[in-house]
Amino acid sequence: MDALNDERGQAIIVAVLFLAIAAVVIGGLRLAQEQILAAARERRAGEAAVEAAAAVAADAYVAGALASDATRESARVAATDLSMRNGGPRIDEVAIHCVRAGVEVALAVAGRQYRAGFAAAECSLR
Amino acid sequence: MRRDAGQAIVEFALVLPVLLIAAFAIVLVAEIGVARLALQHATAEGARAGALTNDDDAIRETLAAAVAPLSADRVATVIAPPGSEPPRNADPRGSLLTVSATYEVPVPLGLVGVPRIVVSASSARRMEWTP
Repeated sequence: MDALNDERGQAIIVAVLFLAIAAVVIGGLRLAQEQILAAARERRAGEAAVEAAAAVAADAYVAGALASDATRESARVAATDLSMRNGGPRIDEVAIHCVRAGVEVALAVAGRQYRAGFAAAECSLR
Repeated sequence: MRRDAGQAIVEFALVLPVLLIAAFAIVLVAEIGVARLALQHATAEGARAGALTNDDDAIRETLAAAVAPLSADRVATVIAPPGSEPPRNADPRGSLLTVSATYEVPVPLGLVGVPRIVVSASSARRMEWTP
């Protein structure tokens, strides 16, 4: 009967179980946080990168040099710089298009497309 | 004459502080995550505002508005370069603007042995503003 009524050690077992669950919860939280933060960082880096590239394209448009390869390379370098400063990856390619009454700059970061544009009545890439 | 009744209650009283600390740690980890995400968002918004306005006050106001749910009073902001220094006090277009912020996560009860937990974030933008 003593063995059935013995309460010794029961609280310790509950505490160990609780600590194990707490450790799993903390680990899971940290993992989820890192994933959310990485996704947010990449999004911010993409936004900063495409805006930097668009600013370079806008300056080139004003100078009449929008169509040159040097402009595209300058835009890519500026985009890479801003992307990396914001924790993003290197930018391999920046696309500059004429769209209806404007210029659109597009790039990809981690498979996600980012676009920025500005009004340009006389856009020409020739 | 052995009496085991009540033994579990005594043991539970002994392990209760450990359980409370574990629960507290879960809440604290979640709070740190929220702070990191909020600061990252706020510095990005602040840097963007600065790139468009070249105005330090606008940067601080934007950052304070975007840092919710954190208390803006506990956020320390550094703007580099400041608006009073070149190139920002002349024609800064194309130059780099960096907005950094730090936030000290409040630790309830000031538990002994828990160091100050400071979360930081930083965002950079190219200045688009022209005089």
